Amino acid sequence: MFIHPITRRAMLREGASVLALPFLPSLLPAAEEKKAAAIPKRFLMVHFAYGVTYQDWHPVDSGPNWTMSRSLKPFAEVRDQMTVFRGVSLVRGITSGTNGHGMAHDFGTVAHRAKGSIDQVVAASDEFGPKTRFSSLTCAAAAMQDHSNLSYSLNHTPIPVIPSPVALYQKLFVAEKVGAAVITERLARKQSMLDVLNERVKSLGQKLNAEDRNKLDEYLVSIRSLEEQIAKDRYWMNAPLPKTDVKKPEAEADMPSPRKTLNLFTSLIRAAFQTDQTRVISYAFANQSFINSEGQRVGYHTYTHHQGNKVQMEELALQDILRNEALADLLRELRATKERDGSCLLDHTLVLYGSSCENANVHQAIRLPLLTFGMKSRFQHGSCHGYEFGQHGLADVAQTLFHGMGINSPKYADSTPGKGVPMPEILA
Amino acid sequence: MPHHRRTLATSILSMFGLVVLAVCMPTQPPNRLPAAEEATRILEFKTKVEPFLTTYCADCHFQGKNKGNTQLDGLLSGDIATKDTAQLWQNVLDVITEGTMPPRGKPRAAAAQTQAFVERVNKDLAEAAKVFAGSNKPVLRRLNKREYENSIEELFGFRPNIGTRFPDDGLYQRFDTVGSALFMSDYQLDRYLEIAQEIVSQALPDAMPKSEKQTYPGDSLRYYPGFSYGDMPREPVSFYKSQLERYEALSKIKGGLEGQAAGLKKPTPPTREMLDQYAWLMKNHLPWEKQESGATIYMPLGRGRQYAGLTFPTKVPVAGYYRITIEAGSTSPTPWDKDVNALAVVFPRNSEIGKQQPDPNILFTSTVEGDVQQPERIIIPSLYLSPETTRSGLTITRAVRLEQINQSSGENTEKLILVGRQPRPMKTLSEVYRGLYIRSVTVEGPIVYRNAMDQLFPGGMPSQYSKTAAAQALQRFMSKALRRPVTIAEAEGYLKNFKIAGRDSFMAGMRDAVALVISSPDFVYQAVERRSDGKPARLSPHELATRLSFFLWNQTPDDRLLALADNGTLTKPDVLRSEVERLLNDPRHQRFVASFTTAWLELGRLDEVAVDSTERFPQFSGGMKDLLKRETIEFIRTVLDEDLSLLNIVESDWMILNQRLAQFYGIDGVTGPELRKVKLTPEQRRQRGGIITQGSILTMTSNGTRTTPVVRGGWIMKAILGATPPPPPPNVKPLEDQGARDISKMTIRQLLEEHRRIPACAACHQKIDSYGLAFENYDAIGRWRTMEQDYREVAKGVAGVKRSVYKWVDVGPVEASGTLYSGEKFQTPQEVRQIILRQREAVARNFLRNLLTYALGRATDIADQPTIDQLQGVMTREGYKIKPAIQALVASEAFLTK
Repeated sequence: MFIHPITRRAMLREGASVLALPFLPSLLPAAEEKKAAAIPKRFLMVHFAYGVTYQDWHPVDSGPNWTMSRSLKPFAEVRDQMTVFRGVSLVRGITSGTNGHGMAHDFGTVAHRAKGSIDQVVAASDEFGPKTRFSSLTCAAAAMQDHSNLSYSLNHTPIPVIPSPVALYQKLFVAEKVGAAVITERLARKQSMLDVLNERVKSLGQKLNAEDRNKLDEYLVSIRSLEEQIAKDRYWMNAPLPKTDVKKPEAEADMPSPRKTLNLFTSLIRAAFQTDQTRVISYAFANQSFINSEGQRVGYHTYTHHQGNKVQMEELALQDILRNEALADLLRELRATKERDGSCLLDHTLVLYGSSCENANVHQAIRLPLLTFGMKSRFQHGSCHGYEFGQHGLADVAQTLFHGMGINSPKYADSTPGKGVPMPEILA
Repeated sequence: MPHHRRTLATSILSMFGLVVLAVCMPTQPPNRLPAAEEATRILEFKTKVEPFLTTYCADCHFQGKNKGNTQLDGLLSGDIATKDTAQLWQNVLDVITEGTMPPRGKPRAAAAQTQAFVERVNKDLAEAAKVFAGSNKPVLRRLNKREYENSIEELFGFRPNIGTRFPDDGLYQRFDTVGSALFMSDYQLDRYLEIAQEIVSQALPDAMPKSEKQTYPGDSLRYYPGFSYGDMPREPVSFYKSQLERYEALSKIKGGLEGQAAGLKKPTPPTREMLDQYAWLMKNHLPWEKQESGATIYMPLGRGRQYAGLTFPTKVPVAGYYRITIEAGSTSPTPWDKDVNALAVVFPRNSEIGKQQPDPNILFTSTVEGDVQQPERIIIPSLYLSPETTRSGLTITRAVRLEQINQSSGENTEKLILVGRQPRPMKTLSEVYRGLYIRSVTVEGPIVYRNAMDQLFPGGMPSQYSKTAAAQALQRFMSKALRRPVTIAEAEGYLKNFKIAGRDSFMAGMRDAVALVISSPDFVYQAVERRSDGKPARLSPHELATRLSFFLWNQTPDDRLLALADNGTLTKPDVLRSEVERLLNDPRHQRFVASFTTAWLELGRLDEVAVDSTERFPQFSGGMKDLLKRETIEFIRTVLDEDLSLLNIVESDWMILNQRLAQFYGIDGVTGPELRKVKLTPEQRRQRGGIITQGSILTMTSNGTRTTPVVRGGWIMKAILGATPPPPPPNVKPLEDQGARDISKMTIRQLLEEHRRIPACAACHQKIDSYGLAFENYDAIGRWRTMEQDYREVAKGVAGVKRSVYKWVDVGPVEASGTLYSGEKFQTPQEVRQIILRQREAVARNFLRNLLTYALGRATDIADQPTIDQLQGVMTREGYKIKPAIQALVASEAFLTK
């Protein structure tokens, strides 16, 4: 894994949104203000590992009248709300990520060129994380293994995932069964511990040089961030958890198919957005194994090394389609959910969907399978954009999405330097 | 002392009969040589270097052209002012001396001209390296998870119960000891605080708990059905429904059922017969039974994980560490299976922690060697349990991934149910199931650990519960925990919120303070005090004790190291030397061996390879990956501890084996599970010796189904010779798109030949492939072979009716002989090992570079060349033994300065 050395300046810049904005409950919209306020923007990032059968995925042509490809057919009915990217590599001008397959962490952090993952940059932005009970939620189909977390904090530490719909339901809609006094006492105790540690950081910092202090700032930022959480918890402990129409999910399916695993989360993701408990969610498909048409359970990874075996490629194409069906289910639900002005949730939600690998058989991270959906007031959807190798990397897409969502972010990872937005063609 | 730039480069040079000049000069600022020498340098640069670059490199790397992302115009100034420039020069030298550049087909310089170019640049680089030396300083380094756990154990006597609560540590390359890659986050800090409070509640209770012992006989155990990912024989109706759903989903997609997917026939409802079979199976195959004053849990021979088990009704009265003894045996008939037959102790899923996860919380795993007649006593010395987590008792399950077990019959019940075929008549449970027999379980505890109490209050509890008494006690504890002298004022800083009203509040305050100390930046980072002017300085004795202890023990210093730091003698060379000796003689140095070896040889890659042990490689059964890793680590430990030559990693006349490994490698006469050093016969040495021929390396450099010589070759170049192959060029189409012939029918060698026909691939792959192809006598899991085989469908199945039959099919004999890219010919892998052995300086140098990175906790670069040169000198002189190298490293300026 290669991590660019980060200067203190850059560190402060990245941490700026955290450092410069001590959390103030007054920033939170009170109930009545909320009604008057604009409908919030949301961001959903969905990743799947091991790429696709790209022959079936990529449209053969570009422009608004692109020919629907086989694997993208599940999205036919949301075509006007979708942008297809063909030719964006994980890292601009480089053929592979940090390891062969391109796992979730590669996608989230653009092969670790960025410290914070794409969703966390969004979550740190004023109009997103600070406004809701949960700054962001990071979900996965199962506990992820082997450093494959999708989301990384702005300090470049993997964020533990919510591994099941049951756990997500608990978090969103089930209140802790202790009294307010206990929570108040717990928060006060934690705050006083942080006060002591704050002093210790300062005193240690005096003995260090600039480089070490830069590193130690991570600890300081962590204290700040925990303090913000305490402030948030204090604010939200008095606000009752919202009610939901979603039923408590059953235990996990006996046999995980990509469609089933996401579908279990679908209504909860929608409900989390709808009740404005969070505005940023990431979801990682696990892709660990599936049942092929012979009824055999096969390992996804082994299977992707198909060495050109046509049967295996076809089986994998079917998996791609099932996965796309699952996302289409979610998009349909977002579209069916109305906001108070009659617009739908999808109109206010940007979805970034893709893999950090194109063709797992040869470990390539060029021409990523990559789609965006929704938030139509900001994004010009409907087209397929074809790019040459070396023209754009995932960071350019992220940078452009930030811009479109109204997030003022400095240059993200290795996005194309220079003024302006790297890919203005996708903006409305 | 000769300055070898990169030994790979010099060894190639010496093959051409060239000599690299010795450079012995006093340290100079950059490019400020004595006037006469500077004049020579400029003259030589103008006549030997500049023309070379403009003639042979300019076409592709000058004036905006940056083929391979390399632009060289900047080098024409002749200044090596920055490390980046030095590194660029080094890269140029490497590719020229290796002969990769200029590329084939482009004009190349005459040997003498190249020699002159290389000599001049080498001299300049050697000068530059001296100036940069010492400029690399490790950045403030957080303790990684392992170091944190070990340090807590040193302070409190028990290991913290972290489970999966810490985020993964960041890695630099594969090293988890590099400060710049070890980040801190709010999650991490929150977990530090949480775990610290658990630790202090154990270590500093209001009253030391009374320890109790309770034995649960086997017949008090309950069956725990657990849950599975569909690995139990499937209930036919629900399975039919799920298949139907899938079928319908796919049918909706136009074209989804064309072509190869025609195998997707519409599923048929289960027949009466299938339902009867299922009912029969459930009825006649009890998942468990009482047996011989104990109980046995049976598992079907299927794939995947499952956690059905036996629950024993433990309910611990207080949270704490408990000692658990399990009398267990396996019903498996062969020793091979016994090794596979592992158990796990878990919290059942409906308990506090388990419910958060799809898998129950695994607390402990162990292999089971005993059998039903003579159960083995498996002891878990210290396990954290609480009344909440044991609300539903503790459960013992089979922990293995069951995918591996079925070696004999080639079929299993699950598949039979799936395709609705007649199950074979099953006479006894053991024919289809493997049993785990439990005779009894004994729980003892909570265990009382007095370490922290003794550190805080060596003379017993204070007579007065005052703030002064608290500060004095804390000062004693902090001097140990923070690895340095601590003032009373600093201790008071942790007692800010301290309010005393008697013993209970005194102890509560001490707990808070100690929890804060072990969450503080002073504890979780290895900080060194910096000079205000930014200049390098010697480590203080305490800082040296810390760096040394984390290097060789992965933990905070022990009392003796701290005592030597307190009296200042640790910095004396003879004292330091004898301490290194002491640390290396202590069992705790095994932590260093394991973590260093794992990072250097990239053993983590083994986990990333999915070996198809169900069908292709049933030998690669449960726990094999761990065993193979242990073999490699134990091999390196043996080289270190027995003062053997490092070159054993390339070629040795011994191996590390136990019975299972010996069977795996086809070596007779080794019995029992313990790993030991085994001398090889000349016949065995043809196949095995050194680490390249170990299953761990050979498997992780395959893709789990067939060999990948490119990856194998790349690993040998990087991990053994220290030459990192460049990444592939952009826009290379996959082979299947290049109009290659039907690649699924080719041998590996044919595939690679196809590959090398593509010009963009050829340049590098000539080199990488040649090392990999030299080890084609080893299959995808490292077994010796003389015939290359492929696992192919030999009889086509019909979905829902008949399964396809796959078999190993001979593809063609392995071509063992060949030519390395350097032109050396070989007949066998053993000869290749001999050829690699000739590059011993490159092997030693690469080892030292990795060791330095690990020890200093930072990346190494050109500025470290002088240190590595010096260590290499020691190693060469000392017969390539590792201990002298470690001693020299610890005594080096790089280690002793900050």
